[in-house]
Amino acid sequence: MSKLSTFGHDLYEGRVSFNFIGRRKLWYSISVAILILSGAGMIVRGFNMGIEFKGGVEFTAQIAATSANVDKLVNAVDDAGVPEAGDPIAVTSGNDAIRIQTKALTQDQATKIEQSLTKAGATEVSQNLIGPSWGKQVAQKALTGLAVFIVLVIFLIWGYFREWRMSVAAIVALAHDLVITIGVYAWSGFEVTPATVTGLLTILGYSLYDTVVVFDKVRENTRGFMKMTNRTYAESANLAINQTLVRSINTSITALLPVAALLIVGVAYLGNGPLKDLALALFVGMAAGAYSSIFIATPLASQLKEMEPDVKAQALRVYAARAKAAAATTAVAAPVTRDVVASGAAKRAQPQRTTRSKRR
Amino acid sequence: MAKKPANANKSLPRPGRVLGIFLAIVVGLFAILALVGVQSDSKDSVWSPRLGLDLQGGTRITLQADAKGGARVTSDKLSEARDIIDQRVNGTGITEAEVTTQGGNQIVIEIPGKQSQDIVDDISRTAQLRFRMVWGAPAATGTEKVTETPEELAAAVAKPDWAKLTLKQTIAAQTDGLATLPKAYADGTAALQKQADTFVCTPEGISAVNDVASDPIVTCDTKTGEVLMLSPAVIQGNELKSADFGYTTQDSQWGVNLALKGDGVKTFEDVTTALTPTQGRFAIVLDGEILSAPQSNAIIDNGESRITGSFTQVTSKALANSLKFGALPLTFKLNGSSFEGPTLAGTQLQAGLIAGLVGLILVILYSLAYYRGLGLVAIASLLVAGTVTYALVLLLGQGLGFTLTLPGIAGLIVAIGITADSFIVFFERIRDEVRDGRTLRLAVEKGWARARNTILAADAVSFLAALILYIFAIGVVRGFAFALGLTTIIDVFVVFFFTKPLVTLLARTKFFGQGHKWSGLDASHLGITGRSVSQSAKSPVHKDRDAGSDQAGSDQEEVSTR
Repeated sequence: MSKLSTFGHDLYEGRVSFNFIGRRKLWYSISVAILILSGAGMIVRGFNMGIEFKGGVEFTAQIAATSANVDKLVNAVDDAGVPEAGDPIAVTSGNDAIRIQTKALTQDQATKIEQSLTKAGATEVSQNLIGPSWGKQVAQKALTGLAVFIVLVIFLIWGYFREWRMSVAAIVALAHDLVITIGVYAWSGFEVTPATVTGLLTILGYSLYDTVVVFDKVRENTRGFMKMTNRTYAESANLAINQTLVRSINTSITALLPVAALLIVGVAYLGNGPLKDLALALFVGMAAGAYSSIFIATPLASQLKEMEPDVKAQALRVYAARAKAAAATTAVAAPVTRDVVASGAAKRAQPQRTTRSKRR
Repeated sequence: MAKKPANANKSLPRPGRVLGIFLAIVVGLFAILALVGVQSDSKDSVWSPRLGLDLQGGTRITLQADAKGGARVTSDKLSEARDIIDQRVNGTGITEAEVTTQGGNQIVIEIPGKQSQDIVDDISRTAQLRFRMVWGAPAATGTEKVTETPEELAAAVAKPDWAKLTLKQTIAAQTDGLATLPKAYADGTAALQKQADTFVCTPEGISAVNDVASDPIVTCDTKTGEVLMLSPAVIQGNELKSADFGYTTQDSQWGVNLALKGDGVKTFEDVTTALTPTQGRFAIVLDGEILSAPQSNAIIDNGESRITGSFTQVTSKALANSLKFGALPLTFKLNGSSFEGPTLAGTQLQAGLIAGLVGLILVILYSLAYYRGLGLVAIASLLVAGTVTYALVLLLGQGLGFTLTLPGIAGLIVAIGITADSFIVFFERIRDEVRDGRTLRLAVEKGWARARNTILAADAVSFLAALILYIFAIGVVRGFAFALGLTTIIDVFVVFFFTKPLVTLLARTKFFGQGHKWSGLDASHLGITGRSVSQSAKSPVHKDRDAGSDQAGSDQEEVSTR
């Protein structure tokens, strides 16, 4: 742990620096590859839509979750005299429950099946009868919510950072996270339920939260950068990512820990259910969100900013100053550089400049 | 933002007072709860949160307003329907059932505790009550072969504009025969007769009846099997004032007492005036099924009447309830019903609590391992946030009927991470400032001035997401959004009025202020060499910076020194 914090200090001072911005082509390619894979998953594999989207009845029978009991209950459904139930799908859920899904039924038919299940040995039968339009409504509302959210966030970030490029980058990162999460669902065949949709919408907030924190540091580092001759905009942004890296890691871990607990306990205790669906979507989305705020959002915001003529000119000035300094260094030779590597106290006099001039 | 840090330094001197006020407010919350607990006569304790159906077991029924009937679904109509359904649920003797509207076109009924199939049936009945004239019965056996399909007959019946018929004409058609109707209706009545001839009195037959108020229909009474041709509705359910059941010694039988209101009183007088001389009948139809087709024995001018027949106490009560609560302004269809057994509910509650506990412990362990002494601050803040959240969940449960559901618990658990993040942003900023060469006491203030805005911006985004999720979510998902939004707000308060003052106070102590090995702020832990955190490593230039200028100034300063 203390190694990690020393690492934090090195990152802060720029002694250790990962080139997040400079290698953006690499990150973009990785993300594009993942996105294409996700998209392919959606087309090739499609989604395993939960009963809420198809309509139907789900029974949860309290009975020891053995395969013998599963067969017994499936037979009980068949014996109930309700042909409309179709072929029931039964899975164990936790240790003492079996879930059975049938096609859409009326309340009376569902009651018949429930009685038949009780007769077959289930001590308690919960039932969930879902009309076919339910899931569609959830999805429709979620889409409306998504649209409203994106519009509001564009303005919020724009208003806070006074920088439309950051809005664009944040939204791109957001879309990136959503597509990846959806892709994971397509490939893994995890069931998509309203709880999953909720999880997805929650990712919106989380992914942006992470991005906002990094952007805040970028803004701080680049304030007044037009007058600087020691750092380009891209370098300042990169430093910001490095400086917030420890925070990003810590945040991701503390956010993922409870979600992981939710996921594991949910699966262990309840098997399939809203807890698992929610936690899974959150877990994947949060991980993608942590990745995208570092590797996508900030490089993209920086790239957009670098396109401005002013910013380009500033970068050229920085390079020119550096070339000049390098020439001077070779001419005057060693002593000057030695000065920079001086001990703490001397360094403190001009903390930020000293460290940065050590950059290679 | 650029101007604020200077002010922040001014407002800081009294962290102890801020902390005291904050803690007093927390205690106040619980005091209010205790007061509510003393005053309320509910048998539920105020100290345990109201649990949702998924955590305590019970039945949930979702009804969706059907826009097909031509009626526009307005919020007025929906809430009127809500009230009626509420009465209907309580009319069957269940209390504690909650009926709420949802999403602009749905009504959700939640009945805690045991499962009750009858309730599902009762409530999900769409219950459109109508009084109709009896226009006739099926012709005696097989007079004519019917060649038209049911669809063709239905189209023929619906073809004439029945809405143009006056009440007088409608009544005359019964008392003086269908032939008295204008010629335009002849084809319609002929088709109606054929419908009656072929009608089969089964539940399927009745469910096929298209019970439109303005059209005549053919339907039957399942109790007697009698099939009747009925006129367009003369009185509708919303003209019924009340319905009661009772036993009278006068006629020694159970019956249902009706009272009409508005135009219904006059209409009913007209109908009974016309029918009484011949002891003619009228029919009370509920959802396309004849509830009762009583004879009219007296002219009723006050809108009050009594239906008798072979009623028992149970059937008369059921009819009275059906009539009383039958006047829904909208038609509904069952959109979903669920029953969670107590065992499943108990397991879900347990799973939620365990997940929360495990998540909390993991986060606590991580903060301790990484932040050491500061980790204790994080834990204290998390616990305070947890206490405030619990108090608010209880208070909102009492005040607004907020119930804790499984997704709600999940929201609270997810919020642990988001709350912890605020501390991390703050702590990392402090450490950054220490690394920049400030003494700890100064680093806390400078770090806070910067972390504050980041925390506010990030929490604003988080809250926005929760708010939108709440507005656009359906069903129990709202509990998740609510929990998330609530904890985001609590997070802001805790960080501002608890964590920050606490850290300021602690920075004055020897343990933290001098960077003890276990404080999480010691030099080696931060990777600083050559000085202790209690010493400033600054030249006078830096002092100048701290006096009020901010990062922008420092950047310029870099340029000038270069």
